[in-house]
Amino acid sequence: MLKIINASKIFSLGTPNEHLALDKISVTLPPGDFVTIIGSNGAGKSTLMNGISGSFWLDEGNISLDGMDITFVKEHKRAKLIGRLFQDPMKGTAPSLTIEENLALAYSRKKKMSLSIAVQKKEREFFKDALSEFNMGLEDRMHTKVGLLSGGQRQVVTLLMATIALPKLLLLDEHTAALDPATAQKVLEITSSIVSKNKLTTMMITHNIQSALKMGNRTIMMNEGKIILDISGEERGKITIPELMEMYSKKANVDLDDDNILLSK
Amino acid sequence: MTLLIGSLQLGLIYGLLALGVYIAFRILSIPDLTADGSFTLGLAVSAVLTVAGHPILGIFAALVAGAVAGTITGLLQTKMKVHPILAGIITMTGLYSINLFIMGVSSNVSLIGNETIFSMGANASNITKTLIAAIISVIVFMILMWFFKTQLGLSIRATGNNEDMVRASSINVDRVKIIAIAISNSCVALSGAVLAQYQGFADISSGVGIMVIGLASVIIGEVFLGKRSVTLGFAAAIIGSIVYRFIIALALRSSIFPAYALKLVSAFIVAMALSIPVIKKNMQQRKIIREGRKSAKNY
Amino acid sequence: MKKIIALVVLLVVLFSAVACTSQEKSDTLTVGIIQLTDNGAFTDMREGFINRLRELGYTEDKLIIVEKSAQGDMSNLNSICQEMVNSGVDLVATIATPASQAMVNMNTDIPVIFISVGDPTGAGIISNMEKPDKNATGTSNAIPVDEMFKMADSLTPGIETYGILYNTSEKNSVTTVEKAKVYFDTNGIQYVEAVVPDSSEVQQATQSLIGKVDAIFVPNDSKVQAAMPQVADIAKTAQIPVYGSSAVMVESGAFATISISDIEIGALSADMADQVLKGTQIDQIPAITVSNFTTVINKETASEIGVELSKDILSTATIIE
Repeated sequence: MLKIINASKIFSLGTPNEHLALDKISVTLPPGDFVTIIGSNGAGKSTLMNGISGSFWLDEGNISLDGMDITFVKEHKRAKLIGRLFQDPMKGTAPSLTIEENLALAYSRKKKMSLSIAVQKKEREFFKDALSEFNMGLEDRMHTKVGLLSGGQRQVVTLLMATIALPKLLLLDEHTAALDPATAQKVLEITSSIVSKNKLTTMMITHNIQSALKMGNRTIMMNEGKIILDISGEERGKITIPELMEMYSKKANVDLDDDNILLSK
Repeated sequence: MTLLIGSLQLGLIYGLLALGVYIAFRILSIPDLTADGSFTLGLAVSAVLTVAGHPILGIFAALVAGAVAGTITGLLQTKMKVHPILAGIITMTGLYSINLFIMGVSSNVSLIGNETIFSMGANASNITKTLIAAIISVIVFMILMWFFKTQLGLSIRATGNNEDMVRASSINVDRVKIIAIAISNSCVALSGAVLAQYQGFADISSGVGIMVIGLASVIIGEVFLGKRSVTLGFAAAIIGSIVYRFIIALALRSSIFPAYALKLVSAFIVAMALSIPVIKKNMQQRKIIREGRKSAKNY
Repeated sequence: MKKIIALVVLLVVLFSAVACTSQEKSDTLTVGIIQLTDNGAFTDMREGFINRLRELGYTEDKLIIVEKSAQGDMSNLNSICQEMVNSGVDLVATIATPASQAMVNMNTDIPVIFISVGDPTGAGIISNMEKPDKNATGTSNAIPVDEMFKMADSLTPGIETYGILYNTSEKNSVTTVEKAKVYFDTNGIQYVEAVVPDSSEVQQATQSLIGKVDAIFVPNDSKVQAAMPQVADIAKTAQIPVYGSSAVMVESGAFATISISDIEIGALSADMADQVLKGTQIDQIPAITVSNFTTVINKETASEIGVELSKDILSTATIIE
């Protein structure tokens, strides 16, 4: 489904802040793959996602999605096929619009822009059903402005928005990091269920090693713009966190001093 | 009575301007300064066509002209990445010359004696004039209300709220912005067009400071009707414009103040009007404090 | 909800304040004066008008004068006209073109005397100068360009190229400039235009003329008039005469002008108002293009640009030190 070949990106070329964010990265995701991505801060995880979604163009390499070369396609056009969630619950929705209106907007991504009424009756029912599956009571608050919802609720709405039009690729960038543990857990469960129900090809960045190993079928570890680890299947099922850490330090040749990775369970 | 009705008529006509300003400033959250120029553009186009014998065509031509002006500003902002404020200023500046040209390189075009949308048909009585102004306002209001419930309209609202989210919904944000600014300036130009036929002349300086009037109208209206929904917002723009005109009328009535104090007096009255809700809130809070103290004492 | 109540209260207050009629009708006459902006020339016209009325016997107890200025805001002009009609004045005097147009468009029974409108028929205020219609008549201050340049030629002979400094947004200026160009073309004089959209740009516009022209002509233009001291300074340094179109300009440093004193225009308009108030039908009072000119010269400017003023001129012209 997703094929990245030799992707490279340097930021601030020629200035003292020059930074090689992506270093000839190549990775292929077959359809239905659910990959978790881990790595220390600055490893290039978010940058990789930004590159895939089109926030910037690569300096080298190319990307293809479902057989189509999207290396030079504009961001909003890629958004037709890619759904995305961010760490900041505020980013994914329009706070002054209601849940219903936000969903209508997200759902319209497959349609051509028109002057038809945005929220149609049929769609309203569809949204209501989809929301009620989360068991969060959101289906009764369809006319509430999204800005009034809590962080967890907003992420759930954003999750629904990202997946309602059945994207070819779902990108999740630490989408539970800003939520409290209980809500984070709930959102992760909902994520799993949506992904497996719709067989969405998914990439999820997380700092929580345990979730990383538990969710999905494959885990990638990044460091300094490169992929240094890529495990799936049995090897992944058996590996423990300390073992993972050892592999990491061996490959990265650095001392593990990232508290985040050490301390998270 | 003339002042009362006249102020109402002016309030409705300038209300169209306020609607345009509302769309740019509140819905799209963009500071668009094109209004000074597009208002006069509508004024000029309407005046020239009215003198040529086509007042109704003048109104529609002004709508189109305003949209074109807005499109230019939009293109400057999106494709040329010019800062929004600067983009508006650039268009407004260029329009000055264009407006003069439209008016036949004259700074003043007189419509007196020509048939206008206000004099068509039978008598141009005060009631008729008010009705015509009111009907135009209502029609525009309803069109806008419908429009912002459509997919395109919703995209515009969302863009003013969270551009990234709109892009992530696979919508061309640039195109949406341009359309929104075009519509905004179309309303502003319409306001100028109707005013030209109402006051009987078009003068190149008619647009100076019009942006400020539009903003004041929107803000005054919001203070009373709130910002809860787009429909309320539109109503607030029109009502705010009418209130503003009444404030000016009130300032004019007073013979206590010398002529040069007009703007000071109207500014004062506007400030007073805007502070009514705050004063009410203060009074409520004081009441709560008083009662709170009382119950604390009883305890 | 509370806010809506507040709004209704405000509207009711405003409505009633605005709607209730003003002073009861008595034997005192009321005359309204409307101007668009505040500037020296308009002030002179207004004062001239008022003073002449008082001279003619309309003392304060017989005649109340209500002055309103839109303070540069066009949108207030309409409101002011409505207010005048609302308070039922007996006569309205309007200064300059936009105010006159707005008032005439109100189409009321109140007679209008317009003061100093450059082109009354062109501006649609009246259709015929001799037999004015639309319940309006008044004075026109068309600048006598022919006389102006003849005078210029006698004071500072040998001008081959004139610079014309003006603001295209004032109808009066544009009309005067057109007439000037006709004169220049007929008499084989070259000219260069420098257009000023705003008072802040006067300095650069003036400087752009230096080196290209032998003299500068400024029509009856309020924007350039406001910045005349700057223009005068630059011209004096370059030793070029500035021919203005009003006494105010000469007072601010321009070299000379043939002008109709603004005070006098106001007074002439007052004479017409007097006729109307005494009962003459307005269409029997022809509109006049004021033609008694005085040459006004600034002596200090004259010496600074090296012009000798003959005894003749010194005795006939109005000299400003």
